[in-house]
Amino acid sequence: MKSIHRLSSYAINIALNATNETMLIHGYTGAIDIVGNDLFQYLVEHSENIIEENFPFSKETWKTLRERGYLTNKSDEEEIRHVVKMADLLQKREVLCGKRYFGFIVSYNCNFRCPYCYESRISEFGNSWNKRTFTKEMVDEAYNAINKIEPRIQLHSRDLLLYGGEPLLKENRDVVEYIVNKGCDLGYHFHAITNGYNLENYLDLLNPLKIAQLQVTIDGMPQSHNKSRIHMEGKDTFEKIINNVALALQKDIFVGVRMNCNSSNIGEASDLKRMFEVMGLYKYEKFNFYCALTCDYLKDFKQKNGMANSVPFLNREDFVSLYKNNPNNNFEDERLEQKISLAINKGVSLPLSSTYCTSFTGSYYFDPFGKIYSCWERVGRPQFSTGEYGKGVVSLDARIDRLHTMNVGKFEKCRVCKFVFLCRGGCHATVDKHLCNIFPKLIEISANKAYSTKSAL
Amino acid sequence: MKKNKQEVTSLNEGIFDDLYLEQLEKRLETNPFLSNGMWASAPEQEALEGFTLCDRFNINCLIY
Repeated sequence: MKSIHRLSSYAINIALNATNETMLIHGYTGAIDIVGNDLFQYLVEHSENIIEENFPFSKETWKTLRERGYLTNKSDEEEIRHVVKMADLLQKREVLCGKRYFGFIVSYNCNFRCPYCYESRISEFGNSWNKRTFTKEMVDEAYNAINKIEPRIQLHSRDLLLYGGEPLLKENRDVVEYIVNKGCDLGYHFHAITNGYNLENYLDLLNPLKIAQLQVTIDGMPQSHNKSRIHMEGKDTFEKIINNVALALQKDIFVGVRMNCNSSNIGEASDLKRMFEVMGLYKYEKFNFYCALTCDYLKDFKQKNGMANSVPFLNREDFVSLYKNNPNNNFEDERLEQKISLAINKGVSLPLSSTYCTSFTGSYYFDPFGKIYSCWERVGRPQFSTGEYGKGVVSLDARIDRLHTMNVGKFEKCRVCKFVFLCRGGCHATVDKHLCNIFPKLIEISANKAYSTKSAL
Repeated sequence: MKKNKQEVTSLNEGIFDDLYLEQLEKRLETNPFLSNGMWASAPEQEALEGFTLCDRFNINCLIY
């Protein structure tokens, strides 16, 4: 009886630059292999009917391709069912035994009025900021809640998030000090997402054992930055933030400067980098500067504010072109280059996941109102809260159970896609599903970069 | 790296084959705590510790 196989629907092929070879990645086994273009061409030409007896390559090759998933005797439908089952298993693995992530939404208040801020929904573009912050009692309640949510300490991420609004406002100093000192006593350390404007009030809390990492946003050179990172009193903010970044780096902590890119300021990234070089920031190993693509979170909301309408968002296709044209820069492309590099340099599993982020496996962010959120892009919107805490009690909403069973296998478009466990479905909080069009190009660029690094070793 | 008469060069091991998934399913039903080597959940995360904060939150970014 003839052994008939087909080319797996989940075989990803990537042409390797300046070679006659193809990288194959299997979308659900995570195998990574290099084949000659002649072999790849044969597989494609006979994709639905590859007969072992007629296979013009070696028996070993047949065996390898079969074992690693590229040749399969599963039908298309059987492969889809396999993917759905695997998606559930991968998520269950993380939900049961993965790390739990916790954080404090110190306050929804903010001293900036950035036109693209997704929290403009809850603040009505700064007209309705809620100034409530944590009290010490609520901080204690939150720490108790952490242990109630997950009594197994070994599953806690030891890195807690400080978030907002703006967590490091001058007026938040006392409560942030309390949060940090109590957390450190319990064995945690912290990272903060901050605009950096009032950072000089927190320098004593910045060290590797306390607030060990910051993300600070600088949106281009001073003129561009000051147009989008707007202080509520209309003051320019660039110079003060830059100076604070320099001060923070002296405390031996990680500082990531993020530039939110749009079509107007993207050309300034190199200039900003040069400025940082002149300032000596790159001499600090823990300094990092990266450009981020900001999503238009307010599409359905922008008619309410002229400034929000003025943001010239960069689309993802243009961002990918930028990546392609800047091959010497690292591009955090859904972590593709790093994942592939990890796998091929260490010869280990390619990290596959059926969920896009820890919202779907175990993240809990506490706000001052006694609400718990799993998604940091939906904070402040009670309809998206996933629980409540306070007065010694924690209750998690049924929404958590839905989140913890929602994975790419549940989405028709995702489960039939060969990139399913690398793309992971994209962020549900953004208005548009944004990865489908660009993922093939992303992985082509990233896989080539990863492979060229390996080849150079 | 395994070469296969230079027709296929395998670059990694530890693939998610049927046997692995079968074992994972059984273990998740009976004992959720797997010993080191059964899966790389914690080690995967540790391997990824070197990521920048933006990686943590899965944001596309271009690192300079």
